[in-house]
Amino acid sequence: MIVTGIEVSGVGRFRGGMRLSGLGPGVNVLAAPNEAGKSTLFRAVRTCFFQKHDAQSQPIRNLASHDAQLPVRIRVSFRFGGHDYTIEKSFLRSPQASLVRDGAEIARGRQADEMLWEILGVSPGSGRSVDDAAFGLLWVGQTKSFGFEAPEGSAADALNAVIAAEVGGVLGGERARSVLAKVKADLAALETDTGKPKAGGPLKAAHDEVERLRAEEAEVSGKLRDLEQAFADLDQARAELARLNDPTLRGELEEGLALARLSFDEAKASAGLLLQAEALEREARARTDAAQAAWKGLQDAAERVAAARAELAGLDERLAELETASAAGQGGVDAALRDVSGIDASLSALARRAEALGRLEQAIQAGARLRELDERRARAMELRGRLAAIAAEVAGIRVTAAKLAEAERLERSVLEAEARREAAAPRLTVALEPGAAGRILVGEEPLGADLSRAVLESLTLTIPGVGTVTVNPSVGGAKAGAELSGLRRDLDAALARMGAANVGEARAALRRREALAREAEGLEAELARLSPKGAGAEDGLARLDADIARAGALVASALAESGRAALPEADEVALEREAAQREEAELRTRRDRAAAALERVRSEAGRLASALSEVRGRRHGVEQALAVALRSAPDETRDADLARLLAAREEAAAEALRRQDDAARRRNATPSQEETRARELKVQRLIQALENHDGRRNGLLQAVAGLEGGIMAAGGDGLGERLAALSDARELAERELARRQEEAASLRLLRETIQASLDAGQERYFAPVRRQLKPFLGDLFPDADLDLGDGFQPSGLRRASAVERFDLLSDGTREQIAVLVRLALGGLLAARGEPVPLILDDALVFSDDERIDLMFNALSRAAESQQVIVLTCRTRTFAPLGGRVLRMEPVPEPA
Amino acid sequence: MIRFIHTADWQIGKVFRRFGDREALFREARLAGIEAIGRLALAEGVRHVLVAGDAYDTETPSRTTLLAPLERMRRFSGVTWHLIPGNHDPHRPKGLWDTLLAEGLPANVRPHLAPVPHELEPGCFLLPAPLTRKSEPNDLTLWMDGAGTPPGSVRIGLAHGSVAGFSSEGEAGNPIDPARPIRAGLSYLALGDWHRTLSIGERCWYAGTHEPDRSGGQEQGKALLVEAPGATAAPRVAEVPVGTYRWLTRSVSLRGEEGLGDLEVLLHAVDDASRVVLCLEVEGHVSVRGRTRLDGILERLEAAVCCLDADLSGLRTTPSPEDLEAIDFDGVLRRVAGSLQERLADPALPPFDRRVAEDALIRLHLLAGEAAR
Repeated sequence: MIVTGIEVSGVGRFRGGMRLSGLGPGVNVLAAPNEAGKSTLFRAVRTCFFQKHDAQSQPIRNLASHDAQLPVRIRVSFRFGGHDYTIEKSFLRSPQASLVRDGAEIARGRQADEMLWEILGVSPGSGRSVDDAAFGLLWVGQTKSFGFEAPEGSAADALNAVIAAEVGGVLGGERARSVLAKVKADLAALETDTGKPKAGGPLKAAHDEVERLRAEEAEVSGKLRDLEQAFADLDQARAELARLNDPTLRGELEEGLALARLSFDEAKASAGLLLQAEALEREARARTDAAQAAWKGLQDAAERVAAARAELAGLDERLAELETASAAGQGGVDAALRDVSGIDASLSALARRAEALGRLEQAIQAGARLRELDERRARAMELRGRLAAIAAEVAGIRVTAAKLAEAERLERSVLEAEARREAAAPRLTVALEPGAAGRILVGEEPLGADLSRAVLESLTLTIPGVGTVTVNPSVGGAKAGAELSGLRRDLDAALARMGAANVGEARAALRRREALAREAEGLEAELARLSPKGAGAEDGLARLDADIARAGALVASALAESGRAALPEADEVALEREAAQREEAELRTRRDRAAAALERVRSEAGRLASALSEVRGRRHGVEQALAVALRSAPDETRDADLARLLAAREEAAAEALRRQDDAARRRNATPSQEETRARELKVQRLIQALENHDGRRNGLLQAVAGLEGGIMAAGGDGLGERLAALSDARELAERELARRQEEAASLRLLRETIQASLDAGQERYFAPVRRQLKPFLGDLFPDADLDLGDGFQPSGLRRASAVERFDLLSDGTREQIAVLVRLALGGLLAARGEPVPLILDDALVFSDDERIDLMFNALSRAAESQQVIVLTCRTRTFAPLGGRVLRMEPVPEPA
Repeated sequence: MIRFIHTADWQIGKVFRRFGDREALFREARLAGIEAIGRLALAEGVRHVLVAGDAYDTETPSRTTLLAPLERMRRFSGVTWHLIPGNHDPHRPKGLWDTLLAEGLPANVRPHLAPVPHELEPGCFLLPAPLTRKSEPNDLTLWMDGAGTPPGSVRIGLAHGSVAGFSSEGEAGNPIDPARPIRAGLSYLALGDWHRTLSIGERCWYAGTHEPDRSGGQEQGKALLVEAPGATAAPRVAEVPVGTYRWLTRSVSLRGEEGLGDLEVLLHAVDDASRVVLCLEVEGHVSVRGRTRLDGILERLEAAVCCLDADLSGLRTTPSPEDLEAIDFDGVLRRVAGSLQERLADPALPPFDRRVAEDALIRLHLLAGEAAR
């Protein structure tokens, strides 16, 4: 379709009528300022195409000129399918419609509306805004160029028809989506997105019901098992009870118990008799023992009397012998003691002699020491004298290093002052001619030779016969002389303080003082060495004196003790000591022998004394024992008592023998303790068995009663019937659960299969669009590809294998791509022979100069197959687009 | 001569939860069967009904279940009901039977809890063999061989168990020598445990249950009307229907939609449908559209009979070209249908997965139809 003419009146600002001229194939550009009515004009075109002429919708009323009483009249001419058509509609007032083909009116009114739609192959207006209605996709309205609205209704049908004609079976997507939505809804009622049974849904309910019934069934089944066990236990208990109720069993136990008791009683009685017999046996044996003891006691006493008397006699003899020997032994001891005492006295005298020798030796050593001390003292005294002399000499020397240095300094100053005075003084030089010697007087002295000297003070030359020549020193020389005099005084004073005539003398005095100091230091060191250790320099001499006094006293004492006038030689004393030592050795040998002899006689004497004491003690003890024995067995009655007690002993022994025989007989007739205990245990065992029997029977009676009660109670619960009902219900619930699970599986399979098919179909579906899009896209984005989603919505731009989300692209890029997609869809329709105009209303506002130039190329390419109408207020920018220039011309009022 | 009714395996209290709201009907029917037997006794002038075990389904029934059959029997005061415990309700101390005795039984109800001869009528003795446990390894009818009765007496054995060498439906062993009538000189041995009416010999019968509880067995419950002319003469036995419901089993094989017509015929051929429990096994294959039609037929069938238990596990739904076109001529859904069809026909897939694919395809068919509308 190519729009060839547009004319309106009563529309917006075009109250009086306006015609758009210049329309034709290819690019058409209507450049006009804002609010010139461009958009209104094309809204009117769409209204004319897609709205019934008698419609009263708000968009149509919005089209009408303000306060106009005129109808909204729109007339559009177009070429379609080889024919020229004109559709003219009047809206709102006096609505009418007329469709003209190739100059002849072919329909009018409603028929014109419908025939137009039939020709265009679109659905009638749905009442929606015409901007969104069929073919709206190719009209890029103001502010609509950024995005892309999915084609709907007729537009979608038309595109689908075109694509389907090309790629075949890609149809049914909408139905598939509809079915898919239903499948998802059905599945969502059963399970969650994660595949779990949905709370409140039938699958979850079936699942819960199965779990509930299984739990309940398990509980009832458990109770039934318990009941079954109770039956078994009751069976067993009853069988055992029947056995226990058997009277034979209990009778055997009772009879056994009676016999056991009888046997045990017999054993107990026999044991009692045995105890009595044994008691009598023990008593008889005790009496026999007592009689024996009485006889034996008396017999022993008699024997002790006889023995004591015999021993006393022997002891008396031994005592006499011992007393004699003891007296002799004591004499030997006394003699030996005397020997030892004599030797000890000699040893003591010898010891004293040795001590005296020792002291003499010490005195000899002290004498030698005394000489040495005297020498040291003399030297010390000498040193002290010399030190005193040095000290006196040093005291006389007043020169010190400082004073000397001061004098030396003054001396140098004097010399310097003299040099300066001489340098500053006039110089008198007299050269004598031969024969002139002595003819001139210098002062008073005749000059004998040439003279050259500084005049330090007024000098008078007298030349006899000539006169006198006086030479005076200069003023500076006088000053120098005064300074020199001052310095010399100072020097003299300094020398006087040191007691020296000149500096050299002072220097010598200082050297002497230093030499004396060094000597004194050496002397003091020697003096210190002479002093006793630990003594200082001061008390050294006193200590020496004390040492000398002690040594002298020692020597004097030794001389006095020995009665000698002088100390002997040491060798002499040594000889005396050796002689004393030999004598001591001999004495000690003798003493050892004497001591041994003394020990021997003392030991013998002790032994005799001990034996004597022992014999005396023994004799005393025997005398006491004899007295005791005689008290038990007096001599007077002893023999008669012995005879009496012997007879009593014999009688008791006979009685004991009889009792022993009786007890032995009883013992043989009595069961042993083990046997009696065994009989007792048997009685206890049988009593216990009977108690056990009765207890077990009673217990079983109670158990049976309990089991019977439990069984009756459980039976009354109808457990078996409940279990059967639960099993049935559980199986039913499990079948329902399986059915629901199968239903969910079926829905999942259907959902996944439909989704997979949709995904595969979409790629095929988009293929023709991509092919159309490719050259347009290549104009602006070389090597790029576009991802499309539902309704041809661009979703991403692929460049260099990276995908950029469409909604994150810049405004300009999004606008350009959206326009390009429309161009591609338009191209798709045009390729099918159904071209539709593409209208761009103030689009491409965000494109830069380079991009807009490329977009112009794309529009020109599109215009080869479809009409492109561009509405813009940017005349200069769109000038390079070229194309047909459209003009809005007022329509003259009809005459 | 003596005439009596032989019945068994009432299993009062049996649950039928799997039949949903029909359960109460089936439970009541088992009690109604007692009344039918009572009425039969009255009609035939019979004074004794021998119940050969398993009067109760469990030895621990609910109290109502325990009392309900007693009250039904009490109404027929001219008839004495002789009961022995079976493997479902064995006599154990303080068990069901002791409870009944403690409760106080109707005068015309006579439980036989010990192997002791009981004189039914002069010269006619009942030799009961009650079970005292669920599974008895010994033949409890052995005692009948030596049971003392006056010479010339008619001896009627009453027992519950499995005839040796005979495959019983019952769970218990409880062996019974089929030669027992000969060995014990019985005129008739009334047996229970087998739920179908069955003659083991001219003197030995299983009465079968009076009201079936499952398909594949006896269609309708029966009782046996027995006439024992004398101690040695063979008894005359007549089978009499007493059950309320008929348990029918039918199989239908579908090859496409052709077999659906048979089902329609079946739908109209069932007599007294409201008392029919129909177990329907459908196998073969059917198209999706046919499956939809089948579901419609089954709905109507279910509405017609007392209870329908349709087993479609042997039926495969295979989409026809028309089914696929109904989903879509082409496009996404058609491809989805094709994919599901492939899974459906893939023998390598487990049966569950194939069944899921089948269900998904049927579901797709329905949803696509809805979407088209």
